[in-house]
Amino acid sequence: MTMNLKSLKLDLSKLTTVIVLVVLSVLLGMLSPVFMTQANLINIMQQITVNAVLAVGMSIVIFTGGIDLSVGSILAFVGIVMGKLMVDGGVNPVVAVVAGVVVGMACGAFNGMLISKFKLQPMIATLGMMSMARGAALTLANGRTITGYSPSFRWIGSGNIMGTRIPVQILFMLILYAGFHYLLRYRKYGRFIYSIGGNEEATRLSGVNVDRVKILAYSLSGLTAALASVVLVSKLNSAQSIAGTGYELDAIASAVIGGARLTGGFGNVWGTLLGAIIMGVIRNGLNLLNVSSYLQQLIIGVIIIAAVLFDSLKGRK
Amino acid sequence: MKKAKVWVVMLVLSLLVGLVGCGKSEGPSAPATGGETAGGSGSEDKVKIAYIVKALTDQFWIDMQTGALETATELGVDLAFQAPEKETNVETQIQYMENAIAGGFDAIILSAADSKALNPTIVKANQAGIPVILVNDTIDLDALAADGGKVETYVGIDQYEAASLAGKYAVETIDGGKVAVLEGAAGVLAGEQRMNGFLDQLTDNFEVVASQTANWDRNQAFNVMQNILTSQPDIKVVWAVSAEMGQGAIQAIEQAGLAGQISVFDFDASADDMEAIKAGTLVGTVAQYPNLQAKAAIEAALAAIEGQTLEAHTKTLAELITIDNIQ
Repeated sequence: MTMNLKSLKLDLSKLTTVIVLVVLSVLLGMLSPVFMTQANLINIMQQITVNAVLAVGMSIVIFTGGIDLSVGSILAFVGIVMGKLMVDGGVNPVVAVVAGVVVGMACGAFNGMLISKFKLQPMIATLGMMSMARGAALTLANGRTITGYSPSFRWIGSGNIMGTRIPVQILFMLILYAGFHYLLRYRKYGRFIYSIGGNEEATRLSGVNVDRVKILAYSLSGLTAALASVVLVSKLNSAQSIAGTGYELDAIASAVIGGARLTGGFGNVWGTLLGAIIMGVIRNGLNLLNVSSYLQQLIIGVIIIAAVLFDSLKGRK
Repeated sequence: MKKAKVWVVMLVLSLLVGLVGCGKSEGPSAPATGGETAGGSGSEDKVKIAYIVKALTDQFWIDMQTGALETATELGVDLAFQAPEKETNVETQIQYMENAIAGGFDAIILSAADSKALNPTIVKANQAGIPVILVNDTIDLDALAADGGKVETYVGIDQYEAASLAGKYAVETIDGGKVAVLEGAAGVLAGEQRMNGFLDQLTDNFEVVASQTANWDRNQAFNVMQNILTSQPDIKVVWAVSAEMGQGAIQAIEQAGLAGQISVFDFDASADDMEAIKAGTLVGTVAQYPNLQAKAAIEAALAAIEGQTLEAHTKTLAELITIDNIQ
């Protein structure tokens, strides 16, 4: 077994996540006749968008060696803010979305300030924000579900690209990933994000404003939480203060399955997307096969550990 | 470093001032996660009841709070309505219980967030001679008895019986066909009772082809329903054990272009459910009237204070709401 993995490492060192996905898909394709149909594959991509959008921002934070536990709560808070504006206030959807994005980024920037300027540990700072944003959402909504959005807003989460069967939200997600890829690969901030994760002190000594990069990283995570909220509220035609509970864990799992290391400095956004797809494929397959819910939790846990183990064994000398 | 400290102090102060300001502007109807009282001034001769629930995070609990405060005003009871921020916050509930015991309350009404964890404080209340009434959520009464504690009664609906109303209606009005179930989070008793209450009514012409959890979450219910419809496009009946999951299922069915071909039933009768019944996308929903539960719980507390012995289960009303009886 170890021998096999070692030889794989030679030419496929970056492809382990792809291998996991292919093996899973072939397996599910054999077990369920509908798994490989075009409609089902589109469904899977549509089902992962919220998690994938959260996960790309989460990845940036993880690349710096941090973690962001507040994304699910920020998602809910932003949803309520947008819902209040659009449904109760009759505000134009574009204005409401911009306001939502500003709120999400402000929450993220607040996390970044606490972590960089006040040296709070990322887990503690974002744990605090997790509670604050959820509390703000609950207070603002008064426990109410806010429903009834305009067709133009609903188009983002439930429309198709004109003349095709491809949902708008999938295109939205891919554009977002391309943007983050560009940032990490071709902008100096992107390189700083990895170098902070690799060695923060050395990065600081080489003259990089580490605090600013960290604040940017957490702001971007707040941004993606807000964008995930846009997709979710639009898709379900409702904003709820309890939405997104536990979603941070799926986002972290996607990044980690995709090859990111929680110690930072390592990984890329396409890996995260693959990680999110793998999670989506597992959930979809288990539903198609009508596997009992007790067993599902067990299987998902085993596959997460197996995928990460596969990746780390490969990296061992 | 000194500068940083000053910043922290200023930040915290400004936050607090902001929060207090917000709280004030919202007035007394704000969804206090701490406490809220009714019945006017806490004069000495009034009965004092602590009403501790699991959360105020959705319409269900807010309706219960409204019902409780109304009943308290009506009956002249001094009521302290308290809720932690989250349904899983058992420690906060224990604190509320201990505060109520120390504060000399005459009775405690409790919707327990855990089936065993509150037992020690219930025993403490027993020792202090304060009657405890359970509402909406029952606990493991055998474990409580083993710990030497007791409650006066459990006020709430019979989940199984309530769900059976929807099952019977489905059998009466639908010819049969494939059934899909959206389960709650694994291991929650109420969810399982609701599931079985419905399924046990189904006759042989119905076949359950899919039963999957969506963890009470609307988005997950959307995804799970979409997947079920992929493998079983000829589903005729959907039973979702909560309103949130019912709403997610309805949306997945609409998106799949199957609206009108599938009869959806769910539980809780939320505001969205009412709209859906009027729109024809939801056939029936089981209402469990949290305001009536609150009223019955306060009445039970008053009876217990007077020394009356109550039945182990004080059943409250549950009804199936369909297009025929919707208001």
